[in-house]
Amino acid sequence: MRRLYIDVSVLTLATFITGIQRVTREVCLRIADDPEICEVFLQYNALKDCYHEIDSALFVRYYREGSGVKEKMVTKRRVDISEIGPEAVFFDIDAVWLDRMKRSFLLPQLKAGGAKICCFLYDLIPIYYPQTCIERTVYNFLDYLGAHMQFADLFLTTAQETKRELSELSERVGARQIPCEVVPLGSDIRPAGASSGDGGASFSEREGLTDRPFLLMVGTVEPRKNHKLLLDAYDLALRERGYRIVFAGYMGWNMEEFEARLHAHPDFGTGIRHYEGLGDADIRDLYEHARFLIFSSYSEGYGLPVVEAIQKGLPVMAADIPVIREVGGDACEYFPQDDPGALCEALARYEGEEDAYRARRDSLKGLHFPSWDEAYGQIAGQLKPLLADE
Amino acid sequence: MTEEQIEVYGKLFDASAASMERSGSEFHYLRSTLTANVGTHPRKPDLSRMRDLDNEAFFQALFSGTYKRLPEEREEAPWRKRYGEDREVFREAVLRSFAGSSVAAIYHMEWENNPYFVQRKGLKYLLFGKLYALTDKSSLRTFGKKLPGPLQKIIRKVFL
Repeated sequence: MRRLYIDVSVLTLATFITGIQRVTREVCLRIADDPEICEVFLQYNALKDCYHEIDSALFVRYYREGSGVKEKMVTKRRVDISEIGPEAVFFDIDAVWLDRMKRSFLLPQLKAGGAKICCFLYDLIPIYYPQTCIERTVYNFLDYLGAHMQFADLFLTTAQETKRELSELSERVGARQIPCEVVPLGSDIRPAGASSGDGGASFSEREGLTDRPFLLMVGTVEPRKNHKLLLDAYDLALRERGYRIVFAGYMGWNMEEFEARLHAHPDFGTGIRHYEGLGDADIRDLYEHARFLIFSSYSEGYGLPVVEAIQKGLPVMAADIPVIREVGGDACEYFPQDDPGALCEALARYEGEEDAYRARRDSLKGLHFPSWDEAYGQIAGQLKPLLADE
Repeated sequence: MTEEQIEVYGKLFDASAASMERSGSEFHYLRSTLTANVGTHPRKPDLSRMRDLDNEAFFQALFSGTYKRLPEEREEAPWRKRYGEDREVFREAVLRSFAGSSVAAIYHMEWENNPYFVQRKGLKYLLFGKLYALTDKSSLRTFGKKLPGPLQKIIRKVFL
């Protein structure tokens, strides 16, 4: 059985957890628990230009139980690139394009050394929607993607749409067609992790969100997520109709204009709320108390909040884009992504129609989206043949 | 790395640039910024890969190869005024400037196939990485947690 090497530098160095780090965390915790996999978690030290092994037990303790000191999980053992050879599989699942160790340098060496390489490709947004990304992220991503398109043995991705785009792109740039499998992400939010406040009242209650219906958006506030649409809809009609809107996610890049508008809004702090740095328990609580999840992204790799919300029984109104159609299917209601009026109309169908709203919620009860354990089962099912001795 | 392999990265840039164009926007950096650096050691940009570039393309390629990010407007502006200069004079000036930077010292940068000067690796180059580690917040936190509780409280009050 080969060993599985995973570079978790971005996860372990990040000061906060966003979408990709959450996926990396959930998958790596299960890899560490899997008796059939012998894993080596790595952190790249740019100052010393070398990888260090991470203590798996301390990694699990920190990310599952929230105890321990993050810095202490990095051991002194250096892992040379030459160690990742014929007896190894290198699995890129973290947002490693942010690493100084660029993949166009690393992967050819791993390949020449005989290692197998697997890439978890979240999306191709920097190729098809680069205008929604930070320019330097696109630059780094091109290095990362180009390397994997030439040296990976297997791609894992989360939507058929991304698989199709990858195949089309490979043909377009003259790269070989690498096997690509679609795997889901988990929809359950971890029960562990305390709420940000004292026991007793829920987050929504403490924040005074329960006195009137609120519409929730979850995710980093960035241009691609189209938060502006909900704010426009609020100003257009939702405020008058008694809604509150809640944004849960870090204020990201290129959002200065939106941020200024948000903070200058007379309802900011009352009818309009923005929360950063919420833990799993608080997000779960928001899903439980919101009227609808609004998901107005221009592009997505999967749309994790959509499946999380549905799994919690929260109806979703989503922008009509192929990936969300694929992942959310009939469980979501759709609206054109640039039309706040259409969103207002869609919401109006449930105002004063509590039976219809309840029926909508009930229709979600029978739906099943994979849990993280089930999603990991499918991911591991793809990794294990690579890990098996030939 | 073969020309064919490098061209895959170039074509990815083209695909992304085409999407930018369709959205009514454009990249602020050139294709060669990417293709001149793919495959090189993160600490060793290769000047031979930048041989045929004009001054603007050379600046962008060397900047991103050295700092692993694109130059910001305020960083490129002073050099833009010099894009009309003699190629060799310009190149040497840029390279000397980057070689003297803190980032180059911290990451122990070296430039392969540098025909202009022998890189000085003085005290700053040798020690800066270590000194930088001392100012790294995470190592300070580890140190701070070893201090007595009341002292930790005072530090938190003063600095955080």
